[in-house]
Formats: sequence, structure tokens, C-alpha cells
Amino acid sequence: MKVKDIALDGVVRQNPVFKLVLGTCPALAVSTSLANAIGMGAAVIFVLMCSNILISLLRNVIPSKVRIPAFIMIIATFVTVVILVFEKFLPDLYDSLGMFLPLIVVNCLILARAEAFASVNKVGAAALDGLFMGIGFTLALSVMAFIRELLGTGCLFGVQLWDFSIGIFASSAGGFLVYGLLIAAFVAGSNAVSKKQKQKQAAAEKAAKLQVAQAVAASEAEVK
Amino acid sequence: MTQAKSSFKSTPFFAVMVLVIIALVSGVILSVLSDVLYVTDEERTNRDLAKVYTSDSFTAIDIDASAVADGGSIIYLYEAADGAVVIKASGAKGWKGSAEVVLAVKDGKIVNAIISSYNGDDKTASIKTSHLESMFVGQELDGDLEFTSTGVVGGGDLITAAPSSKYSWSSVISGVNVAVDYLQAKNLTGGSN
Repeated sequence: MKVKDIALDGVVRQNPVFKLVLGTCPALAVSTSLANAIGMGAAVIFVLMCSNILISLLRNVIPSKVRIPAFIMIIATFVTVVILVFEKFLPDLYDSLGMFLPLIVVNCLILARAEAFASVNKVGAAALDGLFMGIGFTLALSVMAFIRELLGTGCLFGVQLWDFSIGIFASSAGGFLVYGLLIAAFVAGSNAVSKKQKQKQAAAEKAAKLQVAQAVAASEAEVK
Repeated sequence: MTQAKSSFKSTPFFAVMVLVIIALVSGVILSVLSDVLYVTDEERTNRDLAKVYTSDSFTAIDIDASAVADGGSIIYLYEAADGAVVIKASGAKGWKGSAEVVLAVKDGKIVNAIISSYNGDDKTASIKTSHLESMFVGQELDGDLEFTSTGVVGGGDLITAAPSSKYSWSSVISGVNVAVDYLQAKNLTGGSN
């Protein structure tokens, strides 16, 4: 599998939040501020990459019957590392992410990538998949948080930009609203891109057919 | 003997061993990291103090257990260089744990209030800084001051909207009342007054 494909899958084509609709709980809960979204994204990237690497390394050792508990134990270990590091060095972020940090253990995205990708691919590909899926997750969360923080509180990174705010965007209902609208925009965008690609492909096929027909006609003329 | 040997080679035994080894390795790694990254009580206290009040230095004040309200506890009490006092207290249990609150008092007024810990209470997301500010900050420590889940008895305005985590909020208020009672009992007003 090419690096470009893994990158495009993780960030765009199989975006975990907007396309696969995975990790929805933290996406809605943590996207109230941009700092929280980036912090949560960094934690998920670390856990995804490390767990994917280890699971890929152990893919031939872990018996398939106990793979899920084994994956959960590996993921929980890395999540605990993140919790310890955040508590020590980023106490404010640790406080504001609260229970959503330990809940990364049961984030569907991480278990899904472990099960669907890391356990059947080589280490390098698994690490890249973890990195780009994590980046896709972080970007999605950041876009949501940008809209919600800006419109809901009039702030960005906690800095007040203006007094105007629409309270609903800071609430859970606003989270669902922004999430739904962004999914719609993402699907519309990806549909438009794939339509363009199909049109290009069809035009290329038509041109190729025309060339073949012209070549055949030319050779028939030569024969005559 | 042969049966015992074959059971050691069986798939279930191997599966269990894999899980045990992963758990052991994880346990060892996390034990080491937990030891290295352990946040001491002193470090936590310094973080709280820095968050709630700005001062070059803080001096610990001994706590008189006999002056603490029933069911509450005073975790620490510090005096800032300018005479302000910072107190951490907890009161009644909320949804799960009892919230620990830190108050800064200067010139007889509460100048800042934060929640230091919820002690495992996971129904606390709706309690915001704005709730703490609107309820506690600016209140004067006179003899009647007491907070209830909907407002202030003996001074100050009612808050416009209480957070939706009712039990956790009542735990926060209980902690603040314990702190206020203690400061009043010991006549600690953070400077003048």
C-alpha cells in the first residue's frame, strides 16, 4: 500500500469523524474549544500510532480468539501513559479534557484501526495508518472546535475576539448541529470530487476509444 | 504426564499466557512511568495556589480542627505575601465524590474560587467558571453569608442559572460553606475588615 493512499485515506477518503463516523463521543464533547480539540487530537495520534505499531508487531503472536482483550490491554496501556504525561506536564489540558482522556480506551476509532488494519498489515504501514487517521481525527475535531468556539463564545484559544456569541454553539445541541452540517458538507464535497474524477475518466476513455477507432480506420485505408 | 504436557501446548493455554505476558509488561512499564511522573501533593497545591491567587510567596497556616464545620474538612490554608488567604475545603458528597474547592479571600471578600478536584464525580461537566464567579466571587465574608444551591443567604444576588449537575453543584456549595464558616470562625479575612 502506497504512503499517499494511506495518507489520503486517513485524512480525507476515510476520515474517521466525517466519513466513518467513529470517535463521535469525544468529537462532540471536546470540540467546545480549539485547545481541547488539539490536545485530544495529539493524545489520539499518540495512542493510535503506538497501539498500531505494537499490534502489528504482535499480529502473529496474539491468538485470534483473545485478540480483542489483548488489543484493549495494549490501548489502555498507552492511554494511561498519555494520562500520566498530561497530568504531569499539561495540568490545565488534563483538567479540561477530564474523563474524555481515559475514555480514549474505548474510542471505536482506535480499536477499529487495530482490528481492521494493524493486525493484518506490516509495521510501517500500520504506523502510517495510525498517524494519518489521527491527523484526520484531529483536523475534523479542530474544524468543529473552531466553529463552535468562535460562534459559541466569541473566543479562539480562549482569547476573546468579539462580544458577539450564539450560545447554542457552545452547548451539546450546537455540537450535533455543527457535526451534522460538516458531515453534509464533507459528503457533498467528496461526491463532487468523485463526480469530477468519473467525468475525467470517462473523457479519457472516450478519447482513447476515438484514437483506437482512428488508428483502425487509418490502417484499413492503408490496406485498401 | 503426557496429558499435562499437551495441555501446556494447547491453544487456550497459549492464549492465556499471551494475555498474562501483555498484562505483566504493561504493569511494569506503567509502574515505572507512574513513579517517574507522579504528581506530588505539594505540586498540586502549588498549582492550585497559582491558579487562584497571584503572589510571590505563600505561608502555610495551621488548621484548627475544632473550628471545622461538621461533615466538612479543610485541606489546607495559606496566607499570601499581601495578607490574602487561600483555603481549600470540601463538604458534603455530590453525585459521587465530594468536590474540593479553593477560595481566595482578600480584604474580607472572596476574590476567586476554583474547583480543585471532583474526587471521581463524573457528572460535573456543566459546572463552569462563570457559575463559580457569579455565585461566589465578590461576596463579603460577613456573619450571615451562606450559600444555597440557588443563591446566597445574607447578601449578594441570586445567580441567574445554576448548572444542571445539581448534586455536584450542591457539593461545591457545601465545600465553599465549610471554607467560609472556618474563615469566619477564625476571623481570617485576608487583610483589612
